[in-house]
Amino acid sequence: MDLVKRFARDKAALLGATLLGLLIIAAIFAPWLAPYPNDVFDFHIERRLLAPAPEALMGTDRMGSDIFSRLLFGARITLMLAGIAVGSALLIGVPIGLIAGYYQSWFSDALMRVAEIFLAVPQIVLAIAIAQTLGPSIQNVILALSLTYWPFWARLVYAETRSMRNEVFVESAVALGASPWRVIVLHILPNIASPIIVRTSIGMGATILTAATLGFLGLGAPPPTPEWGRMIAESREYLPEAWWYALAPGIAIFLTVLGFNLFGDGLRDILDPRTRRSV
Amino acid sequence: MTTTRRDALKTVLGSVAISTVGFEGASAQAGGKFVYANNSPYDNLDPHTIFDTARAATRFNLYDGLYRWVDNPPKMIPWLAESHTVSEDGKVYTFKLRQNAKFHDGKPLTSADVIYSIERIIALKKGAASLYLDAIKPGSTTAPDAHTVVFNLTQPSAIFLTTVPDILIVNSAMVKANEKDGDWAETWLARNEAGSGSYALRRHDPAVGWTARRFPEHFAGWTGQPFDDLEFRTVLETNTRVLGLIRGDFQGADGYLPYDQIQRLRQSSNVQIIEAESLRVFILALNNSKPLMNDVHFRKALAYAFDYDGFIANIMKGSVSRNPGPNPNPIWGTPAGLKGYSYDLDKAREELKKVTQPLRPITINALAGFSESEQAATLFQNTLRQIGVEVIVDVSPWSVVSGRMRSAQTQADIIPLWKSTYYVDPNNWVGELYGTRYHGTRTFSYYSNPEFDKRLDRALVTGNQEERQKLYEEMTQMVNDDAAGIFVYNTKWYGPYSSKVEGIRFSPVSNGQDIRWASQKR
Repeated sequence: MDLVKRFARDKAALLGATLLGLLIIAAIFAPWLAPYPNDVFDFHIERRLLAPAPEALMGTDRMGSDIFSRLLFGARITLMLAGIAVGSALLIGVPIGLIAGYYQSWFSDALMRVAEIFLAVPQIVLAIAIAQTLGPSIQNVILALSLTYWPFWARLVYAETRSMRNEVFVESAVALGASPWRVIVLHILPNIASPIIVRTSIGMGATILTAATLGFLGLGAPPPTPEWGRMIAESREYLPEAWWYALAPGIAIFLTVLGFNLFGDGLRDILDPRTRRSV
Repeated sequence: MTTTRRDALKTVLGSVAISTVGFEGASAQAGGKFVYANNSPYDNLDPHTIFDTARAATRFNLYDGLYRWVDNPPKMIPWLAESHTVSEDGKVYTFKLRQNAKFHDGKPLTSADVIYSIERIIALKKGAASLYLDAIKPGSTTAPDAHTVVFNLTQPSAIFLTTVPDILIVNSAMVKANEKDGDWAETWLARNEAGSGSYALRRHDPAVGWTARRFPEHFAGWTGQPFDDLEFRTVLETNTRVLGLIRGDFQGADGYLPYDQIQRLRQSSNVQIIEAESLRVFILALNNSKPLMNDVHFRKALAYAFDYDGFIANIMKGSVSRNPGPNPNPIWGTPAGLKGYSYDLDKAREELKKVTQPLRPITINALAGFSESEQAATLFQNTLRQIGVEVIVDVSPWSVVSGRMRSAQTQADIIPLWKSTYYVDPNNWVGELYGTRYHGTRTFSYYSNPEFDKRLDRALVTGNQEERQKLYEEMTQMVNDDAAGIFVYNTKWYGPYSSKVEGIRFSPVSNGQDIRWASQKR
């Protein structure tokens, strides 16, 4: 209860939580909220590139579809994409970090060196290479993001596990005859959960930005998927005249990433006092 | 404009007889740089293996042919050759070369270079080769003297003369010196140049483009204030090309920009738009050989499912007119009153009911950097979904798409693209796109119809224009009845150039990229 109160006092974190709440509502209720739910696939080329007006809140795009409706459906894709990619990266990265951190052998060194090789190449470059090789589709974007994002968690969990390894409560558990799995899962993991949660929230923002970049470069979902990055890419040709075309998905990406970052910062402040912002 | 048979004959044959253009002795005050922003990468400079419009600038500026296409409607003017004669039986073509032509290294251009060039074209079997393979056998071309070349065709050819401008002459000594293991220097010439053209290559980077310097000793001489430096830069982003023109960074760009962009450019005082009716048909190319696509009812369903009028009225803003068949409207070879297909989803559904094979998702491979191609793909995806056909849209650059088109297995089901002019004859369109003999080289369709091929074989050898017209009209009708392709519009060319440039000479063959005619305004 105390945690919730502390979180509620943090205005920035609250703003982040509100933005995320709106995003989730948009994603879940897109078919009911969208004024033209069929415009994800239906075109009305006689109404193309109309400026924002009451009948099209954010204007229409190059195929005459309602941008606002497409944005709402785009929220689904964005959340699903980032959720699965970050989830998979967690599933790969956390066990590797735990094992490498707990057992100090050549094997853990090898695991960490592999993670470092991945970290040495900028994530976006690696993701572009993977997505380009596999061909443009949402599944491949998710795969590219998961394959390039896990080392961040592996590295973090490894460092945390190493420091836990010599704590008295871990040594006591070992002395009492607890199996290594029991120690890792029941004693170490709950104690390093906070940094993982914080990292996940901030990672969601970063992943959405990378996914939008891939979409912008044409490596994401094929048209006419209402993916935000792709919508910006399509709008380039019509700038600056059709300013609303790029602005609407741009603001959507901005607010989403901001939401995850503020929310993550807030979580860090209450869960992980060691790295708290200096106010 | 309607073109009569007589006009067409005049265009094709008569123009050659036009007296030599008086370039000699003309003086020029040169200087300045012309930067052309191109929407496709120049990955290969070889004039004998690359034969498309996107990379046409290398052929027109670095190399010369025996004759050259200029102006609109296109006419052939004497170029490296001064004149030619044809034997009675139509099989022997004798060309007289001009005496004063030189390559960029100073070596005089002789008949030996012409022979080496044609041998290289037919040996490599790429680019324009399919136009000659039937008629010219290796070793059959002879040179009685240094300035006479004799082409001994195995059979009379109705299109040989119109394709002569595509025999671009390379410096045989230089190319031979760079051959490796009998590769005709294919690797070397992809990155280097060995021509006699108006400009000499300075630097080539496949990722950036190429630069060239004016060749002052070019046989055609120079008039006005030509540009000394030339750059063809790869700029894939449409918006960057447009902004560069507005800012004055680019002096020219492709004349087939989306109409939205032309309207934007018109507002800039730095840019002039030169308009011309072109010969370039926008086609949704269907791969007739793939399962499901090989069913005529399925193809007809596709042909009824494209919103032709909506596309022309809204996306093209009414700037072009409907072209119901494969040949551009101004050219002969299309039966009078050919209606083509219209947008009618009910008819499409009826045709779809007659399809016996199971439906499968269809792939449309749109051209990256050509927004009309992408928009046609998305629009088609939408209308096809309404009749229950699922479509996957894949967008890739022209070099990738053209690579895939070399085989029936790799060519996508549908490709929205243009068929441009390489020579002015219906064979350039209906013949090349649907004849079995052009599979793997010039085809868009992998369509195979023995009745069509029989007519094509005849049309390529007969010298009787009336017969040829009848044959091409019949072929066009067959393509229409079999819905072997979807034909949308004939392009209008809106050439965007710097307002400080004059003398641009547009022809549907060189697409305003033959920069030797351009001059700086005083």
